[in-house]
Amino acid sequence: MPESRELKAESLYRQCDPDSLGFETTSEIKDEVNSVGQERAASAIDFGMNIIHPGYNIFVLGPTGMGKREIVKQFFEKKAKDDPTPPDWVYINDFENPDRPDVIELPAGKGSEYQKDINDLIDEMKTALSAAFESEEYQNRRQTIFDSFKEKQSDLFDELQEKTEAQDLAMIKTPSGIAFAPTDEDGVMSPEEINALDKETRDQIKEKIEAVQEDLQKILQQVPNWQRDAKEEIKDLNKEMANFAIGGLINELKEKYQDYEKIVQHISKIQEQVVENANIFLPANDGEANSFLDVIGQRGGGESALMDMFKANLIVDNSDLEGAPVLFEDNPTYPNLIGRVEHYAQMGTLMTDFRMVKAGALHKANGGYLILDARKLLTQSYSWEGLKRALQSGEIEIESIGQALSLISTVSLKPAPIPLNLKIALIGDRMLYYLLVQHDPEFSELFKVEADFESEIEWDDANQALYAQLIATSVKRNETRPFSNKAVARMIEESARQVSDTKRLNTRLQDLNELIVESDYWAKKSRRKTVTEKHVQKAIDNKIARADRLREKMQESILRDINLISTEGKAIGQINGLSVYTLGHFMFGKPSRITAQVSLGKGQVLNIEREVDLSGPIHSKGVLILAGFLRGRYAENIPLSLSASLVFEQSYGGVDGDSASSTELYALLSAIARAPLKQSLAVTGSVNQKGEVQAIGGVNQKIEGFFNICKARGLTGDQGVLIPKANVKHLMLRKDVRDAVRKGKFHIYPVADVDEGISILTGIEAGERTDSGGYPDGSINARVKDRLEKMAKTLTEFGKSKDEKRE
Amino acid sequence: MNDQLEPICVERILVSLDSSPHSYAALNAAVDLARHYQAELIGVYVEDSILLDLARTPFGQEVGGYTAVVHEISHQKITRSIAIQSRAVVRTFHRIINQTMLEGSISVRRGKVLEIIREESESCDLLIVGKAGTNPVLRRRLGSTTQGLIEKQGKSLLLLEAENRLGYPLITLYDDSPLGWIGLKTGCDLLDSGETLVILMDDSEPEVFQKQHGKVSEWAKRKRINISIQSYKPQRIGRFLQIIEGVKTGLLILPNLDSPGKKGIIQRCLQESSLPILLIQPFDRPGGAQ
Repeated sequence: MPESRELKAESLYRQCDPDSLGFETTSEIKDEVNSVGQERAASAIDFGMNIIHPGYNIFVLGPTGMGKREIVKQFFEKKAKDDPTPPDWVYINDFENPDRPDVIELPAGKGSEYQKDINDLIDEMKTALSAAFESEEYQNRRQTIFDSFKEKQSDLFDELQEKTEAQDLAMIKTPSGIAFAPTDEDGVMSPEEINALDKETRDQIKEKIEAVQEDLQKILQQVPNWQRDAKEEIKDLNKEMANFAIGGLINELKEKYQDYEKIVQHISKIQEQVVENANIFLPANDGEANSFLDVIGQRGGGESALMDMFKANLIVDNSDLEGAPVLFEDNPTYPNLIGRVEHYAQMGTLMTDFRMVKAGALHKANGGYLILDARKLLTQSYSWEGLKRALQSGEIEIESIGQALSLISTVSLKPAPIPLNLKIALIGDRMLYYLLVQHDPEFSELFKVEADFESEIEWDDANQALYAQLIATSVKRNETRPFSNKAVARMIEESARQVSDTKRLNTRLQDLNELIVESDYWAKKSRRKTVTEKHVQKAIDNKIARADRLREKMQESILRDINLISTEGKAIGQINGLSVYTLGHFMFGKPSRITAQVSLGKGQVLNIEREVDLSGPIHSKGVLILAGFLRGRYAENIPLSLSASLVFEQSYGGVDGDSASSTELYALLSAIARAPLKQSLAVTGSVNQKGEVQAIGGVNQKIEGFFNICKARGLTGDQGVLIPKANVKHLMLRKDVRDAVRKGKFHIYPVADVDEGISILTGIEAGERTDSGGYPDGSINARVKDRLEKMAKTLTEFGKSKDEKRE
Repeated sequence: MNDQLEPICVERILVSLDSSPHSYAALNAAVDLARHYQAELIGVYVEDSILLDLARTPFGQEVGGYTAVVHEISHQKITRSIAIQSRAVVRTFHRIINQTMLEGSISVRRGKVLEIIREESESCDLLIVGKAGTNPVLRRRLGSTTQGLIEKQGKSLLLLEAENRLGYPLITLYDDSPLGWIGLKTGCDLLDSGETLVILMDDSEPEVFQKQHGKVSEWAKRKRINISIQSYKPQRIGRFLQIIEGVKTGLLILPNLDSPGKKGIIQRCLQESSLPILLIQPFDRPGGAQ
């Protein structure tokens, strides 16, 4: 009978032998490993970072929590050490086109040196120019020019004054000019006095006034020319002084940077600008601001504004770098990636200049390696487009999003582009990768290397040792207490449990690290210096307990008979199915009652779930397979004349997956054969049209879900679960389940086909098909076949007229 | 004799204002002195009747100061210009008075400038004016109004030009006359602690110079002030004026001496020095030094 086919406790779990690990605690392991079983991905990364042709950027794909970023970073860092250090980049003002800052490439470290030298030059120029313009020589020469101008003017005015006075006229200043009026011994004559003069005298005065007005006009017309000449002279003087004051400083710097042509040009332009704008450096009157703008503006006017334009904006400083840079940009927004031009507010207007050009991740990683999170990159507006554009053009061109979309009209810059040469690794999940491949034609051109991370590795001796080493490395990096060999063994077992496979280990480093940290917490709480298997188990149990609320509620509902699940007795057309719920990372199994009803009909198996749109497509497919099975096995030569309905009782949510298809078939066979099924058993497994039971997922959780109910009600010794035979290798069951099996209180039956399953469930042989196409009497198959034949006959009879029946 | 002489006593200061940079320098200096002497500040703006009359003459034309174009002078236009000017001056005066918490008032009067100022100065102890007016073309150091005040008015007169500020160095031209002593004592009065009073003393007669030197030194010792006596020869006063040429901050105290030897020196200082000048007027003028 079935008992002989059930699994032994030893088959339900694969244990890791702590002694086989070869250490007592992880502190003995010195060698570090960063990953296990990622040879394919490692080889791809190695290929991608070493191939120098464009477009060979890397997309690192795999589930989250694999430690992909760290692994890629380590690969990059290792290579970057031996790579040449990339150059520094300095933005400078283009004096002819201030809205198009120019860029200079300098060897690493020279950029900061040049920036410092320019700042020093500015300070020294200020001092030198200030000294030059305050010098006695300059003041005297300037004064001479002014005096000469004034003298010319004064001489002519004095002459005019004398002429005016000699003709008894007075020069009178009016608010907007100069007027002439006749005088007598009492001064200027009043209008009444003038009007009292005879006409001839008045005409004479008029003539005299017109004559002096003409003279005055001549003088005044000359004044602007003299002023212009004086200004030119002063300008020339200023240039001469400025040139002399800064010439030495400029030449010294030019000599220092003689090997860098662009630098020499920049310095020459600074010199030109200083000389051309020398008047700006003249000492302000009484130290007062030159203009209203100087007072209220945020930035100094004149001198400081000009000096600011000489500065060097070092946007990439590799002075402290040894080898090439490796950068991870955590927030790949468009400006963080491509760089940005910032603005400052001045008098309510947004202003900018070359100093406001800020580097992005592409600048900082240029010449090296950049790691980006693909999902973050794609969710940031225009970042992906910006990155592609930069990679395609091979240069970084800073342009604000607003500018790129012509959304804003604020004064902005178009800095000279910088050549781009770097390797990019995009980290993302598989779905993203395949979506990009399918929907973005440029993606495959730019990311030609696919580094696919394995989420599982084979659990063999070599990998087990490596895995232990990986745990030891993580222990060290997390700075936790050392783990005992038993704790490591327990972790390895848990790793297999996580992937539900006795021959596989989980490579998700996140899971590993979480378990390490949480185990260490419990060790710390129990004041142990070493983390033991108990602490690991405590961490596992506690994690489950934290996420267990819903499972508990569901179990409670079953135990209180709100949700009807029988764990003893027998019933026709009623069976315990098993389903799995996934809440985040937490999975648990729960039994559900499945019932079947049959009646005379046209060979339809009705999926009630589907009728009310609660069935997923895979579940519907599973149910349709049942009809195929029935036809193939029992109704080859007769019409399948039944109508059957199947339902997940008390299921108010959707049902999907075909893992209950074998269960439904058992219920159906029971209903057709009128053979009661043991309610102490639960079933999982999908079935094909030939009646073979196929593997399903979540087998451990499903078994444990039924076990929990049975245990809570009291284990009778009859209870157990039927699982597909193919799932035996996936069994990593809890210790209490294993113990119950060991004591014969709970049973796990591996089933290869429906016959095997129905025998266990009914306690009646399924019956093998004989050569004549029949089945042994009393067997389940015979009962099913008989019933179906009877139904077919009944249906045929049902359609005949009374006369036909008589015949 | 010199013990009985007092430095000028200032309780009311009159500052004559027009819209020239010189007159604004005068206003700043007036504020400084009003603070020093805790004096009341009186401002006056004169709407020049000569200007207003110009429009009524048959020759009522002006030559534009900048454009050199001749155009008719209209009464309305000139009145409006003067009104705008006076409002600006009054506003500036009030703003400065309010900032400094000084006691003061300003009046706008119409008439001949010199006469009005002389009238107004009668109730004041010190008159402060710009060295020249608003005329940008007539570039003489002393304007006609200022010249008139120097010649015909008895109150001490502080003369300023654009960019002038009262401060250090404090220089006084000394001779052993009462006016010379008043200048010396006024200088002493205006001196801040630690500063040195520079005294210009004629050394053309060595004996007289020695005597005066001793007298002044003894006085300074008694007063516990730092002095620096600089000798000069009248015919070489130009050299001194050349040294201080262009200096805009400080104060040059001049007794307005009538003696033939000194009159020329005073005139040269008035015409050539760019420093603020405090002119101590003779006793025999109405309101002159007592």
